[in-house]
Amino acid sequence: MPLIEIKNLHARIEDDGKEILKGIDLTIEPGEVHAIMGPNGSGKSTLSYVLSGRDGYEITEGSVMFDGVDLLEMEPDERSRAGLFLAFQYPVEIPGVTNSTFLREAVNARRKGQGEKEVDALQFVKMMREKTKKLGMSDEMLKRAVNFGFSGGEKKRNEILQMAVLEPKFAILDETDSGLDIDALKIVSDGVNSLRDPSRSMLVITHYQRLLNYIVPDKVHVMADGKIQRTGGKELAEELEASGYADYQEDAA
Amino acid sequence: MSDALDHFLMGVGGAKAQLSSPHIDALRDRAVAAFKATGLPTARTEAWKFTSAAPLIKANAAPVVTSADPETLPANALAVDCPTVVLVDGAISETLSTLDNLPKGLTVRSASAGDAGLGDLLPLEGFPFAALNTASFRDAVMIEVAAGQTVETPVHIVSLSTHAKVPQISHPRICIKVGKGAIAAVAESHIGEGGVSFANVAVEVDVADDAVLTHVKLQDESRDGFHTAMTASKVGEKATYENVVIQMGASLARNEIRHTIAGSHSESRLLGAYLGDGDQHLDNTTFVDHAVADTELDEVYKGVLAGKARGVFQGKILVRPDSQRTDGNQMSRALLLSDKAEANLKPELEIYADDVKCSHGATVGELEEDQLFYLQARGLSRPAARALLVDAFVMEIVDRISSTSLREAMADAVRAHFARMFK
Ligand SMILES: Nc1ncnc2c1ncn2[C@@H]1O[C@H](COP(=O)(O)OP(=O)(O)OP(=O)(O)O)[C@@H](O)[C@H]1O
Ligand SMILES: [Mg+2]
Repeated sequence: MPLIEIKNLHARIEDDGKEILKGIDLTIEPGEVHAIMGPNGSGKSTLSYVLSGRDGYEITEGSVMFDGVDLLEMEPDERSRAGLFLAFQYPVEIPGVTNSTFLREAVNARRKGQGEKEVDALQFVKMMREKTKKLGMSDEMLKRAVNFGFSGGEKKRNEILQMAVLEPKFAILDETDSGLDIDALKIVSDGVNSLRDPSRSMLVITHYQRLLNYIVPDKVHVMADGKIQRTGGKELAEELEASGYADYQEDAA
Repeated sequence: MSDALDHFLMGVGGAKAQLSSPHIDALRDRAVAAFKATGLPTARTEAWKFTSAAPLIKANAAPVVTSADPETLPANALAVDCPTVVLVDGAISETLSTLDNLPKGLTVRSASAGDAGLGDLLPLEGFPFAALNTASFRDAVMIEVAAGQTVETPVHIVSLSTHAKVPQISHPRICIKVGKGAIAAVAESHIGEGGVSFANVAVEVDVADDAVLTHVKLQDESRDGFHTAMTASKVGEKATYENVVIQMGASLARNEIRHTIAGSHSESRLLGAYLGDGDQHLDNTTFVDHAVADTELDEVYKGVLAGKARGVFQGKILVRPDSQRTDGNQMSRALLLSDKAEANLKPELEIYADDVKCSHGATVGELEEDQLFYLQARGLSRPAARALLVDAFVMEIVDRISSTSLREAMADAVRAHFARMFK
């Protein structure tokens, strides 16, 4: 059974009725890593938001099955607790809530959802120390308010930290590589690779072929004008690097 | 209207019988005259523009003359392990108060054992409820911190309104004097047993030169009760006054602060939060008089309003012509958690000096959808996400309380309240 199966997904913006996703078909098997590349405004982030259940979109057609259940019927928090994770392209700042409170609430929400015991403060500190070290983050960042005043790269690392802590079944990384310096890119990629697992799948949205040298995908999709226009192996990313999206956009127009 | 005035003054005779001295008698006479001259707030009274006094008047509350001490106190007062004086309907309860081991330099007594300074700061003319308190208080808690003394342990005043089968009114009275160079912390908890009890409080605070006072108040009266309070405070040279008010109880409450900055190089902090739901009406009215040059004021008020609750913040800052180099910041924010909740924020700056740094801001908003979604995307249910954001919003005030024990007690009180509000 595929971990995620998207069929003919159409979605439009609720406010103005503009259709953004125009029939997405995408199937990801357990353990696979897929990459999506595509021009600005083609609907990549919209797809990630629709999959994670954000308000403001109307799904007009199609279906999404996640691990055998209808994803679109679930609330965003239910999707998260069921094992879906979105690393945001633009992580949200939450002044007044410390990163450690936030992470603990998230971990405990997940645990409660799975009928497990909540972590106590001590266990949690231990767990965080280990995970932050792996990602080259300082403990200091746990005491600060969530993403508040974080640099672009710090925000992205923080997303990966959350992923590492929540250990999702399916992770969508929306331009997690944008804004990272070379060292950070390596650290983040190592973090992602260490989570690769035969039962865990990932969807990596990126503009840069370079990321895919670190996180080697099983498949690469080209998305333009709200549709998957082409699917290939990792060599497709290299081809795009050379030729750009001109072909696909003409197609779309 | 004069019927209502007379009705409100019904308790004066009984109060005189319980507490009298030449000083207090003269004070009461002045207060009665001021109360009659001022009259009760009407729909046209500017200072009561956003808060109708009609429910306070219509309640037709009878003055409490005597009340028996309850066996136990309701559990919602601040939980602080410190000397505590308990007022029951405005009278000091010997049995419930714990004042045996007062730290050195701290005196707590009834006004019957010395009333020096009582009434010095509280304005009467133009302030009907302050005048009414002065005419009608049955006793006053007199707290004094001797000059030069650092008193680490706070002193706690628990003011209880007993259960009211018929609407009743009491007039808790507190007078705090912090001597030159002394450091102290005082907490007030205003709680009730239920019913329509009306607590009309008056507090005077004198912070002498070089002194530091942390003054915290929890207003958690019964949900059918009324609470009006006037705190008149004065801060001297190089002194610090920190006033933190958290209002969460009563059906209608108005907490008014009149603060005079009388000493240069002093610091004043007026912080507050009001947490309303149901059909609560919570008013916070402050007036700060920068009477001298080179002073600092930091004022932040935050409201969280759910259900059909209404919150009011009126904050006036006066900078007199000679009060140069005043550094005054006022910020007021209200968070509306429902369509029917309402906030009225009215900042008001009156500045006559030219070399000043003053700012003010007032915003009314809702929880940010982006933040809620981010939290939900990490597995928090929507109610949990809302609770976390609201908690953070209010804790920014609570976290600023300088006294650790008072800060922790207030955080517990706020969280217990939220646990009920968001269940
Ligand atoms: N709330 C919204 N209201 C109106 N238009 C929107 C809204 N959200 C997205 N869009 C539009 O939908 C289109 C797709 O946006 P989306 O963010 O999904 O693109 P993207 O592929 O992620 O682009 P990028 O590579 O720049 O991140 C864009 O034209 C965008 O302006
Ligand atoms: Mg995008």
